[in-house]
Amino acid sequence: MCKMIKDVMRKAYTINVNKTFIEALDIMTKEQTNSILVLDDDGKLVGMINTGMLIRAIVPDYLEDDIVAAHFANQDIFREDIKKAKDLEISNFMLKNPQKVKENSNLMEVSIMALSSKQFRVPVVDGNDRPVGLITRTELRRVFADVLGIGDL
Amino acid sequence: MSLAFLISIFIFVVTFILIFTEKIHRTVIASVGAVVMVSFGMLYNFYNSEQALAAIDFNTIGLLLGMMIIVAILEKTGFFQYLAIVAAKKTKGDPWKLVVVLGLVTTLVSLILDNVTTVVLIAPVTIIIVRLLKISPIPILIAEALLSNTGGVATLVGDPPNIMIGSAANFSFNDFLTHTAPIVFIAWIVTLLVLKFVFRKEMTQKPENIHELEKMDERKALKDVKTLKKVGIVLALVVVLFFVHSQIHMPPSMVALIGASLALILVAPTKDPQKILEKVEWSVLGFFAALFVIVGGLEHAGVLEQLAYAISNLARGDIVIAALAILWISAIMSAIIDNIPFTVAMIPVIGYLETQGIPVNLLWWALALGVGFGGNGTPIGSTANIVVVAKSEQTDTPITFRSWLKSGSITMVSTLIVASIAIFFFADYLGQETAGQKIYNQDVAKHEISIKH
Repeated sequence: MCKMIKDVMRKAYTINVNKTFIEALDIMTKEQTNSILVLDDDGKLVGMINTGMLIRAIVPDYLEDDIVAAHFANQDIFREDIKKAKDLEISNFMLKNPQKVKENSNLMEVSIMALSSKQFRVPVVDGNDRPVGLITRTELRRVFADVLGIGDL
Repeated sequence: MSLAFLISIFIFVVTFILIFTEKIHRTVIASVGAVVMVSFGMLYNFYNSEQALAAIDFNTIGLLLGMMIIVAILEKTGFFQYLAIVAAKKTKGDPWKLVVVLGLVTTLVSLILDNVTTVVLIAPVTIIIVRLLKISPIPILIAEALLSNTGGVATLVGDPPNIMIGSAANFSFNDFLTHTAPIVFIAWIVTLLVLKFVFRKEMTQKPENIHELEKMDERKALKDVKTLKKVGIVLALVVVLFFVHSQIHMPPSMVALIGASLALILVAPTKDPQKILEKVEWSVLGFFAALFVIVGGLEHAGVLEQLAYAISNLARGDIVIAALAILWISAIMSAIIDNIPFTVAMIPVIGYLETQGIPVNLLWWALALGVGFGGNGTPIGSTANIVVVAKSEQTDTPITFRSWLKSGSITMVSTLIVASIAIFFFADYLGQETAGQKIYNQDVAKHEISIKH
């Protein structure tokens, strides 16, 4: 039998939406994870941060579409911009209202979501929108291996 | 007063109020207004779909479309940034010289190309340069917007209101060079002096790390030299054709569309141009077309004729006073509201004044100068202003409404004074039939004779 979402999902790290860039970075560094789910005061899922969002928080808006100008921004400017992002509130750079699945959703649905370039990781929530886990491409790959009998890595 | 008369005014007023309040996107509400105007026009017999189609000035739309395609190809080559870096390096980081040269580059490019795109591409590299030098970005960013807005009035293709006015009055590219350009030249210098005065404190900042600026290799900005050379040839041809379009009896839209087609066949002959065409601002073109349709309804209902009749006595009294009134009113309007709908509504009114036997050329030039210079007055006066304010938001010193007002409003008033003096002293010259109009009128006369035969 093919595994279900709840059999393969991994632990999700969470953070309150009122916290800042450096607090998110701290969790991601200590827990060695590339994504954190963002919760409101009721513990409901309102957003998600992954490494890409951190990069977006660093890069000033005026350079986002301008690779030519960015070429001329030197090391000092880059360091300055990292320091500037330190106290930025998470709500300013998180991915708002990410696509999410329930524990009993099927894995094909998750696969389609994981294919979209914006969001490689899909939060799993319970009936009250509270996160219970996270599915990444790695979990999907494990299911493929399991179905084809290569065994769990 | 007929019912058609009142209905058309009602639709026009409601649509324009909704456009100016910006609660609904301007293209969406203008489209709705246009179909409502045509529907009621058909119901009450004052306007129909064929008349609506004829109301759209395809010379304006075609000219904008052609130039947008050329810019869409050019903007990815890094050419704008290249020019900015070359110019900036010549200044050795001096803040005042940076204001002058970057303002000059932005102005020169935007004489021919869309000044919004120019500002969008030059502002980020400007911010990087000032950050390397650790000086304030505010004076330079504001200068780029103000000087390119002012400069845009100098040419037929410098900004959309000029395109529309030129198309309605049959002014040629050279007519603008011989009429608005000299006034703009003085106004441009005045703008520069205003900037120097308003930002005198910032101008004394000592730049640091000048070597970082000198280290910048402008050639690294050029992402696609092959394409740049091809578009360069196209642009050179377009400029030459603009200079002679009137003599060779070719409307300016044709020039732009020749350029666009040539650019497409030189740059991407085998590929689907979908990617390039996606960069065309279809929303803007749709907005313009819808405005023409709405104002066309007003025209066919007889409203504009009545309005022109009402103000014709004023204009007949003293044409110079009328021109000055148009100059200042259109400047104030365009500082606080979108200047395109205002221009589209003003054009047929001035057109009707002409049918009353009033020499309207002075009024056309006053309108062009007014809507152009008025755009400098507030941060929302022109799209270029909105762009530089938005780009500055994530710098250490964002441009505030106040810092704009203190430079922009003084610029607006001083350039309007320049324009007023020009209108006052050169009313005769500005009021004469232009070279472009003479050729156009001869063409029309010839055409009429050939139809009779």
